Amino acid sequence: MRNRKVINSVLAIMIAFIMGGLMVLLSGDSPLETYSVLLKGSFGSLNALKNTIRYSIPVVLLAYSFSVCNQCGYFNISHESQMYSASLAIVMVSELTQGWPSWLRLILMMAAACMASIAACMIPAAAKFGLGVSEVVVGVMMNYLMAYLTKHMIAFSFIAQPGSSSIMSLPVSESVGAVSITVSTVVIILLYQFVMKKTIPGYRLSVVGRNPLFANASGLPSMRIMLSSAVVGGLLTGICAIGEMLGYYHIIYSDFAVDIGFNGMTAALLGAQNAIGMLLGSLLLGALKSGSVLLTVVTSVPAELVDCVKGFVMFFATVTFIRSDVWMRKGGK
Amino acid sequence: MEPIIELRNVVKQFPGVLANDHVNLALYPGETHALVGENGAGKSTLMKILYGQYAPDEGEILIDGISCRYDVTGARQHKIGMVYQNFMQIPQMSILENIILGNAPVSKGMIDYASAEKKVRTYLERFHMPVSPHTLIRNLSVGERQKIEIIKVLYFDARILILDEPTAVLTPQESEELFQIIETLKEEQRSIVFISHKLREVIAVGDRITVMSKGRVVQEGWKRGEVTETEIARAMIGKQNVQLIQNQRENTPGKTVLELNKLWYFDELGVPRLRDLSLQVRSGEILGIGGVEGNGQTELIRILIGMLRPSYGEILVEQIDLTKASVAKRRQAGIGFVSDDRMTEGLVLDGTIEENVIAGNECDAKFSDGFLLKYGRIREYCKNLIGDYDIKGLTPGKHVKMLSGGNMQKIILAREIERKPKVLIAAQPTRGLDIGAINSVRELLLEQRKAGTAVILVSADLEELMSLSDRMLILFEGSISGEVTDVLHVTEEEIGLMMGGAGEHAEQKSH
Repeated sequence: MRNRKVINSVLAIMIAFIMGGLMVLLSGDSPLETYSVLLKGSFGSLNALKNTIRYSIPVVLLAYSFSVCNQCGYFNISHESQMYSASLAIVMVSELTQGWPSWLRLILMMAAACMASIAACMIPAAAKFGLGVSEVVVGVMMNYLMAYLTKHMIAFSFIAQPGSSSIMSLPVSESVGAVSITVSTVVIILLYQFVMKKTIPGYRLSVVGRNPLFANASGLPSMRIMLSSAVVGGLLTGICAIGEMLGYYHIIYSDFAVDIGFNGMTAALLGAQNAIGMLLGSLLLGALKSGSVLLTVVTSVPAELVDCVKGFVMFFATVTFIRSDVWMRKGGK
Repeated sequence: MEPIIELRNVVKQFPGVLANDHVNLALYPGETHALVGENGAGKSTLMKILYGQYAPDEGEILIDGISCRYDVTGARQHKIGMVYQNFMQIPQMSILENIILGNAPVSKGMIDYASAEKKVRTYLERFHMPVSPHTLIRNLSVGERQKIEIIKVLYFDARILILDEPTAVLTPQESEELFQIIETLKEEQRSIVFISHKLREVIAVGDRITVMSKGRVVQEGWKRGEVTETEIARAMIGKQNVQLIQNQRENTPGKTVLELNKLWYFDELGVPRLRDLSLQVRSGEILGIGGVEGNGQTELIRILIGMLRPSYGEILVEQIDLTKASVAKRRQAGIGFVSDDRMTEGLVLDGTIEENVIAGNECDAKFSDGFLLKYGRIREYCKNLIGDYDIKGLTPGKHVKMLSGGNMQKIILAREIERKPKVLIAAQPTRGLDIGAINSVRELLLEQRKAGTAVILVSADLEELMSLSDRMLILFEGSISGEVTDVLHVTEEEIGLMMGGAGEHAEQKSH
């Protein structure tokens, strides 16, 4: 079973790279050269490696966010809207607390970011578990809604930066260092694994996820558990947004979170929602992103190639190449 | 006469189960061939092979003397039709649309509804169904839906009809009507395979009777009138001398533990599923609840364990009102539950025994400190259960779906019994188990009785009810149609009358 999943993911990645290579070939460049540059750009030097890790961190947090929700049957596709909500919350708190002590502002910003993200994550979840509405539709709508709301806010509200050529928010002066972000991410992942494997909430979540009927009949509070999984999902996205905003961007740009949510989902599906699998999946997506920088510098291949490969990976990650029923039937004959 | 279809030495192996072991079966034109056997005897597998859903591992299928291999599409081309127990229908679509599904007449690239409707109308008339072909399936009764299912296979002119437990969901009158339909089909030289485990029906309907047990045909082609119910029953169970455990009824029940007062339940369509149901169960008593399936048993069980709320009435356990209590609260109050659906409600199949046994008890001080699970202790505890309940086939980390039905059921019973319930609700606890496992389950239930638990046994198996119950209640259309206090001196006939709701129903059935 596990082997089959590994083979499936590896096949998805290989096919995606072959397809990407064909595209490079069609546009008249050398696939081998392209991929070697990509590899060099992502793992070739200490700096490249740092960049890879930097880009992998948000992906892995979102992958866990996706995975925890998906375990309870909630397809958390609204990461984008959660990221926007959290970022808006950070900038708003930053503007409203001008002149306050720095440590207090940081705490408030983080708390606001997490709460906003959780709220955004709960809306599709409540629609699904409460009303039976498809969370995918609500989630995708939420993504658009928050993207446009963010654009509006950074153009016309008190957080808009006046006099800039393109629309953007006012900068946040507080900052979180790269090391602390990395360490926190590792701690969060370890904590998550511990809770899932060793504690009552983790046990309940895994039972509800695997067999909700059984959970109901055994008297587990299924509804509460499913909603808590959405809370945890939102929290992880909030943490991801904190890292991006306070560690890197400091300013909300228009569309800065576009496709970031789908990265998390891709990594989770690629990693078959297994702890190590998701880490590897995130690392792959992070490496592609950091490698693409060198690609544009050294070759004539556009950085968009990387998006193509990512797209293919995403596409093939959802395909099951080895079907268990076909497998069984063959074994039976 | 040449058989229309013949199965020769058919073998079908599933992981861990030999579902069909060199099975032979011949079907002649214009006959009803009854196929009998317990759950898990291999009847359904055999029929799926006949209908092309499974390919046999060994052996061959001869149609009109020619060896064939086919899939479902091929089966339909050979005019083999299947009427499933769970109707394969789309409730939101009309009778007409359902019947022509996958077999629509086409003219000029369009579906020729007019000609289809004409054909369907003649069938509806023939089956005395005064409904329009445009009626939606969801507005039909179960009996009507079954007729539609039969029309569906007649629509492509099936000459072999496989009826899989067709009467399981029917009232006695509807069954009688079905038998008449079967007679007319025979007159048209169509052949019918009639699968059932109700012996009386089999005797009444089958021109020839074949008995299966544990994947083998133990008796092929008994002719009508040459065989009695007892002989069939003996063949079904197998000729071994294994005696099923009986309730010795040595002690008298104690005080009342569970009490239901005037329980009503209306489903979402407003149909009353339970009507004014009152009952009491005492400590140290096994109360058997019988009846034709679908007469309120499921609703009663779900209301008892708290997954459904009754519309009216109250539920008391030791005088404490639990009518509005959640599943978890009821479990704390001492209600234990052995689900009739052990594969979904009873167990997490993709889980270890540890994960299954602590469900609902995970906050118990034995298993956790309120947050952290004590996996060491839990493993130790499970090791003891495996010994005490004789659960076989488990290795550490193995998922319970790899176990046999009997061992799965032992895990469920172990979980529920170890909680020391005051009331134990056992729904179809031995369904689909082999005799050894049936006896283990029976023994556990009787031990519970002895320990003073109030046991509610809901079963469709009359023999089981009569062997284990201290007292029996028969449900008919959601209310109690009869009570048996002297279980030792009641006949199956008397119970049969109660199951039909009243004397007249049963009479209609027996003439």
